[in-house]
Amino acid sequence: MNKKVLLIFTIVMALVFIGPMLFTIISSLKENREIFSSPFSLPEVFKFENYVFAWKEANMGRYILNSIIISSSTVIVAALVGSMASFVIARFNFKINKYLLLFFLLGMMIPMHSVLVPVAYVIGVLGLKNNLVALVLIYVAFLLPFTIIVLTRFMKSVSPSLEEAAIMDGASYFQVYYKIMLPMTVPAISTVSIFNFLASWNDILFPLMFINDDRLKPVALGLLNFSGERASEYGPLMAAITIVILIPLIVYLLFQEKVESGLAAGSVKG
Amino acid sequence: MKKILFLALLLGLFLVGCSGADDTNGEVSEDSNDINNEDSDNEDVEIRLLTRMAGSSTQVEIFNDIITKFEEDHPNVTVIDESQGDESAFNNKLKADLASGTVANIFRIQGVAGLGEYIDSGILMNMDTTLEENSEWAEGFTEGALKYYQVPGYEGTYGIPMESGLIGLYYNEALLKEAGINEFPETYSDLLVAIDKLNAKEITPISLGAGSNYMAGHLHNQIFYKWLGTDAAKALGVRDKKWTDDDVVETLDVFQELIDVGAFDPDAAGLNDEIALAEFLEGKAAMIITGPWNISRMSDPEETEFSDSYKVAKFPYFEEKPEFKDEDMQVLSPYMVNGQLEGKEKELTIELLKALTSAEASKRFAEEAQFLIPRTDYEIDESTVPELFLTSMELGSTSTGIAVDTFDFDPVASMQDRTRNSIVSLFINASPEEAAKEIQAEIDKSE
Repeated sequence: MNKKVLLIFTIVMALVFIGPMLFTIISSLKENREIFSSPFSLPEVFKFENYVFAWKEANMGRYILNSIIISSSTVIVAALVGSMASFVIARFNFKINKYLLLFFLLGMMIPMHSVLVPVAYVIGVLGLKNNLVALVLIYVAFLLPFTIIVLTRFMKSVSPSLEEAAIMDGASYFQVYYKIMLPMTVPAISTVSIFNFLASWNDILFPLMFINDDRLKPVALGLLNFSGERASEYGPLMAAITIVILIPLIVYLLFQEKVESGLAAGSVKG
Repeated sequence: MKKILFLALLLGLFLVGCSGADDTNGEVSEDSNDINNEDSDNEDVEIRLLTRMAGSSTQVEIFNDIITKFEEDHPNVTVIDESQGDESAFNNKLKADLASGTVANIFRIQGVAGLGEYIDSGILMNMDTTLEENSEWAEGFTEGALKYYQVPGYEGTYGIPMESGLIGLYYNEALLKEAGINEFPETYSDLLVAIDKLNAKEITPISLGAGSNYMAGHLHNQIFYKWLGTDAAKALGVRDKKWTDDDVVETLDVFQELIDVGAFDPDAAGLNDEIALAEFLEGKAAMIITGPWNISRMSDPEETEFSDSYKVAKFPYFEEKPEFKDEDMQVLSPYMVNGQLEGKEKELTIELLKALTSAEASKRFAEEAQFLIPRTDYEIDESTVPELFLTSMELGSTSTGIAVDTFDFDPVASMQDRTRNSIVSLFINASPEEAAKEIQAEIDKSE
């Protein structure tokens, strides 16, 4: 009985998640009119041209490359800075240790939209529009709290005996971090990196605000090329979305095992 | 681990190398300025545009052609077009630009009453001097369209009209005849009779997708202007009237009545504008309220088998209010110019603005895209445009009072969403009184 309920639940959940993706893929092969007149049917004629149009019109090749650069840089910088900060918070006892963690926890509670105007002001004043480094740093700032919380939690669960042995052998703090803690934290770093990658890959708000140069636009911004004031090209748009979701899907599948083990490992001890 | 650090370093260097596209341009321009002995005429100028002209429609192609031609004629000018078709993307970008003080050279703010604060802060350029200096170009605009951008309480004109057109009631004549309606209903009572007849034939009378809340807003505008006239919207804006006044609530009563008599698809609350248009083009619905921008789709035999059956009329008037028969909703969109521009940049921006709204451009927009710039100094080759477009233009010219949305005259920026959402709430069992109170509460809260 329990197995049957579980099976039904699994099927329903699978439909909930697969349904929109299936709808997108089917719609990507339809004409604009057909998407709205018969949204759930198979295409009358399969319009593969939508993919060609999407690739050319949205300049997808260039945008995908930009997105890869932005997301990869965000992942690497957030992992490096986050792991260093987490090491200090998890392994050193000092007065503001707990408050520091609380400070980062509070950072997770600030929605991006609420700081949009001040960030826009700072970027405007500093002349940092069309600057990928600035964009990456904004992402890192927003993703660091989550990264630090997860990594600190994970590092606290790692037995200190290895580090103690290393210190007795004369290792410096940086060597302990670099040669012992960092390799042992790889599952947790993989987990947060996937989240960070997806967050920066899918974000449209900050590039919309700060990137005007067509050569620097990420792929999420490219999707807006299909939206008009009074009419949009939904067929090619769906085709472009299909192309765009393929990359994070591949990244996730490649790192799936590490992500899952990282999530489980991080939850054992607090 | 060394590999990761190396990779990070490499990536950092790469990012620094490719981040500042502007910096690279700057170096090139410095060099070229040296070559040109700092000739100010060849000074590199960047013109940023933030309009709604985005996507792949014909009018956007024409818009882009004009920009390309302008860049060819002015090799020292780079036009950066940041236009966004998507409304929320556009609004987000505009808000951030306004907040960060990096407003585009040519941009657009919808509505008039809320422009005061931007005029005070110098963000909006008073176009009067430009209009005087370029009289030939200026005199081509229809007087009403230019006057629309004279903001109450301020001297001057703060926008250049770039689009106009009647928001009409487009109908499928064949479907009306099938339901026994031989003449398009001229009055509201006739409309109610027509709705009954269409329902009897199981044809949706009016296609409306309230999921795109502007559609409900446009219908209410039509009712409002035919019941109270366009000046009543201005009276709401200056607080001489309230949304809870009896006569204003009556306009919402009419809307409610249309819902009750089955004027719309029973699922209208969940439909969007594209689905509503698809139903109209497929002959499932007899009428739709829209503007000239959909005429090309209605006239295309590949889009619809009813391309010969479509006609356009004004929204029926109320027999008890004949004085407002020709008080109409028309779309009117502007280009606005950054008030902080100076020197060569200002001069070239104005030149581009003139190119985008010239008689020549207007003719091309009208003939190729059925996109109407409100000018009177060009002739349309009637053989190149659908009959429907000409009728729409003719009807538009008979308006005695013109207004866009009722909230255009309201200084509270959130009124666009508030009015439209409250009107949509009528589809989900809110009463007209409740909707009116909700809208009025937004105004009271802001004061």
